[in-house]
Amino acid sequence: MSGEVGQLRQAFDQSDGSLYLSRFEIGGVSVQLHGDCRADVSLVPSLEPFRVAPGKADVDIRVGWVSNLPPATGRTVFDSGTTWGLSESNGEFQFDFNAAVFGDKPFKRLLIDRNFCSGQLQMNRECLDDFPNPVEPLGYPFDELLIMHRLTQEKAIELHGCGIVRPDQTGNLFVGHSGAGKSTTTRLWTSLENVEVLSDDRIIVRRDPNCGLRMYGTPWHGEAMYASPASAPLTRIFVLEHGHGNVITRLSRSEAVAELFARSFVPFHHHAYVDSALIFLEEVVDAVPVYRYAFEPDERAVETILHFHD
Amino acid sequence: MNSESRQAETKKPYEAPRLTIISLRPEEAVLGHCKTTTGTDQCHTPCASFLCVNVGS
Repeated sequence: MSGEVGQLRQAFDQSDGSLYLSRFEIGGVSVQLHGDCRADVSLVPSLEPFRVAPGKADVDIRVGWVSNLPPATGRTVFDSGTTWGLSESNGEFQFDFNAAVFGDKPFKRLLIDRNFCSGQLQMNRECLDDFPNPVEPLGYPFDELLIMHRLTQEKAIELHGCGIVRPDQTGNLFVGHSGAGKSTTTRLWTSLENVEVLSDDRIIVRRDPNCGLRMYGTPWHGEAMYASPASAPLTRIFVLEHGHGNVITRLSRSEAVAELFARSFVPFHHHAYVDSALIFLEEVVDAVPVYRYAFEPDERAVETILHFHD
Repeated sequence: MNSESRQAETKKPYEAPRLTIISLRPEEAVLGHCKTTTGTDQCHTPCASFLCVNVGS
């Protein structure tokens, strides 16, 4: 039995009888897809580097097709105003994904338990059977939404930032809103130093099982297109902003938590998720120093940090 | 010097609480923008006709 078939068979024996499985892992969260055909469990190209062998997972998703999806009947919890909305019914969550081309009909729906452990992804034939291009079940923002919600159950958070690891394993995380200079920072560092970039736009920070904190790359890259499944110890955090000269200022505990929260991806629709995010961010700022970095986009911005000591 | 006056000397001057406003960016936090389109990837979502914007921050 070949390795791949063997792995599939082993996972099949452990699963719900689905013929096809695929599994990926982002930021320490593993997600396994179960489906009756290969296409249903295919990973979008951006997820391929995050593929791992089938096995036990933190989140199991069964992918299937339905003839149509009736309008959501549960309590509306959140409307993103863009491509997805969330409602709640019978103790489970229902994420509906929409596109203008399909009008009000969701083209797919995720039903998932409140701990984000087990769910069903329903693809809507009414919308997709005649759609000219194949639609990947895991197309964005499904993957990021799923991981972001699952992180509420763990000691972890997703931050808007670029993670850069120096050869001595110093892990610097530069957080910033859109336009703050994450991709610019990434380009400057890669042009001047032999560094590993975990991501230039989204980083997941979580407790290291051994000690301290660890940062993980994600598939959701920025303009510089760095998206690595690797991870590294987190040494310090810089809140990026454009400025004159390159000025580093240590933030107080409360300032640091607030600035990080403003650059985090947290489901805002439940108090409990916001509370747990703030508590975890307190742990983060107690564990690593957080600085404001007002910088100018040239090589001196890198040199300033190379010569900086906490 | 008694302990009371020593305490008074080392006591930090009163600083009134300051209110700092930190802006949130809800439009970024709700994952509204498509990040699937790259130089090599094909876009596999049906939203291209109305929402596909550049990747990035």
